[in-house]
Amino acid sequence: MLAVDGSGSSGCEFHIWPAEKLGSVFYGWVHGGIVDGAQTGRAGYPQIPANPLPRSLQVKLLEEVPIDSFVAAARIKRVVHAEALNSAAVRGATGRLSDSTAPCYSELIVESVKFQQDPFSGSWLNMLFRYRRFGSGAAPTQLFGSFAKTKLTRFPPADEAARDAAEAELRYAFTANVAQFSGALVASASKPSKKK
Amino acid sequence: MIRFLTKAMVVAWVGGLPVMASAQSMAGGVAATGSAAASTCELHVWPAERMASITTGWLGGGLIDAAVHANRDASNRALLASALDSPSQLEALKGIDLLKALGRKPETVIVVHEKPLDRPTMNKVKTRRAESQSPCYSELIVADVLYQKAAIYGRSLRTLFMFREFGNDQKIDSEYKAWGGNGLKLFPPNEGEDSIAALDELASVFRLNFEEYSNNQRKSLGAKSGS
Repeated sequence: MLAVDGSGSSGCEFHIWPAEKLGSVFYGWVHGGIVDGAQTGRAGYPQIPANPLPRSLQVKLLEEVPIDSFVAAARIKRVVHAEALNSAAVRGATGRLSDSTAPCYSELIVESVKFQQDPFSGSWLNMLFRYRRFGSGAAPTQLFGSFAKTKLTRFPPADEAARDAAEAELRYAFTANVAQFSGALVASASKPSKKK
Repeated sequence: MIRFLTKAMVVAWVGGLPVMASAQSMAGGVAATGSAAASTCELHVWPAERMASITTGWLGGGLIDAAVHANRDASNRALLASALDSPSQLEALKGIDLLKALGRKPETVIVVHEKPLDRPTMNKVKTRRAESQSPCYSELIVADVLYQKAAIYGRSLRTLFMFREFGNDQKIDSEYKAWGGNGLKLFPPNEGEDSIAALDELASVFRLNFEEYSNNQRKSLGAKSGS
């Protein structure tokens, strides 16, 4: 199932994939490190609502985020895929991840969405993105990947009454991270890559 | 010939190519499939579920040091969990001749489990972790993935592996648990900077860590068996 908007009269397509689900990383005073320990109910891990960022919600948010900074063209056809991609397949891919043959084509993959928490730095929504731009050739002409994170002060909710506000904050952080990543993409294009 | 079976997808790999897929045939365990008959040798592989990042500065560790580096370590853990998630760990291992590396018979079927084992049970459970009835059964478990940065020694990725060989029963015949560790040049990336090379580096160093571990495993178990 795909969600498509824009007339696409420019011939440009922008394909977006959501992450599979919200993951988590937690490190406490005496224990931690189990990936997704919060979702799987491990003792001592923070409790979070079950699946607060399902793919369907990510798709809805990704249909609405501004994409001007990703593709510099008017009337872009935005295609938001409902399925998540396998992480290893994304990293190993050399060509397009969809069947599209549009000559002006780019991709945004939300590789992961993680709730991160520790006693010192607090709670954050950390997201890893990958952007791939193609011309008429088979290989990408631009590749850029980075992470973005937004501080959370209401998520996870302390009780049921706080749940709506907490989930609203999570949705806001998701959108804010996409915007941060698009800003980093624009900035990266204007400066040479730096080696450590 | 190397055959891979994944617990969820049941894909056998022959010469690197998928040749069989069945979503249901693994329900009764590995031995229920045609490709992994009860008489064949099996090597079961599990990825790690625990990821840690520890940065120590000139303070040499402790609470203040942990507080100073908490934000960076928290981001590192999220990146480790993404770049070395279960599919990525298994993909990294798939590029290695595991049977040769671990001294297994060439006809051994590799059964890949996509879901990690529960970390706290890893040392407690002394019997087979899979339901297999194979008379020639062994396990490779990735126990921990640790990023470490020390003021003097620099950045490294360390991986704890555990190999257990059972033979024809539920008793461990031989076991080798050890860390593999190698330096990092690119990880961790900064927020907003291109991180693709740094994250790819994690997978390649993870592979190097296994190679280091498996070299030591062969020496250790070879010395014990007198071969």
